[in-house]
Amino acid sequence: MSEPLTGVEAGDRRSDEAWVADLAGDGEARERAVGELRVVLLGGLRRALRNGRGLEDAALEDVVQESVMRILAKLDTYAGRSRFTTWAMSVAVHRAMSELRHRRWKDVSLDRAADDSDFQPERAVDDGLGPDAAAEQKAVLEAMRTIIDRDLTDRQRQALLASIGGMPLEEIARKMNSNRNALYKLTFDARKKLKDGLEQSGFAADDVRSIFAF
Amino acid sequence: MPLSRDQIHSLLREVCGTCPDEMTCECCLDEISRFVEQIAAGGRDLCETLRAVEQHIAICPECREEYEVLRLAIEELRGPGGPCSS
Repeated sequence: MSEPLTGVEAGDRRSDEAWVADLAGDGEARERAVGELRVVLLGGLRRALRNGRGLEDAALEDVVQESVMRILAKLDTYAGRSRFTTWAMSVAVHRAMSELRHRRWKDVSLDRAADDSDFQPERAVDDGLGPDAAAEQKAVLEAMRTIIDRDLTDRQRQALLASIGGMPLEEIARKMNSNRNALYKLTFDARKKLKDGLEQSGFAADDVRSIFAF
Repeated sequence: MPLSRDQIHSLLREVCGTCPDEMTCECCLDEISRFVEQIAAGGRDLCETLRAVEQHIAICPECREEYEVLRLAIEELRGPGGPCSS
């Protein structure tokens, strides 16, 4: 029986088709493939999440283990549009980032993240502008404030302001007993109302970009 | 806590960049591995689906962050001495 491949050797020798076939199979070939996949995912996450962004080793091992389970469960969804290792890594990255976000935000309430008084237009006018330019910026921001107060539903307002305040959609969703896709749709609808409302107030998107020099 | 000037400007940018039909996070993440590889290969002739991914990560900070981390992870894996180096 040959020695199991190391992570370096595994990556060099294993084609996408071989990954899928071995992981979908059983016995020694599957075990070897699972072991090699674990090495690839752990190595990638360790390198990408260093410099203060990371999870400690024990947590990374847990994330990789959960990711391997997830990859095995959805193996039939791999369509070959990217390399298998890239696809698998995307699953692991999503799991790792979800864990990091939850750790950072789990004790922060939605109320603390955003409330109606948080949007203060006067804070966003650029310093050092002439009076006309400053007045234009203030007009846009006042229009935004009006639309936020008048046209957004309570849930849209809360989700949008919490999101802009830095809370991840996944965490907002958790606190609203919803899911990330539904929260994205909620904030998308809010942004559309804001965009439409600004246009009706005389500020098309290109105008706003020009006024704020985006 | 009041939103900072940068945060309010970020909201304005996102509002200005809002498109009538946007991809959801789930669809974006389904295509993110293909997007990372195409960008890494220098490809700018993106198909419609990958242009939608590009638009989504310009608006969605979480998907943008996952794109950046995935890009780093793949660069390291495929770089010299990495476990998937060619």
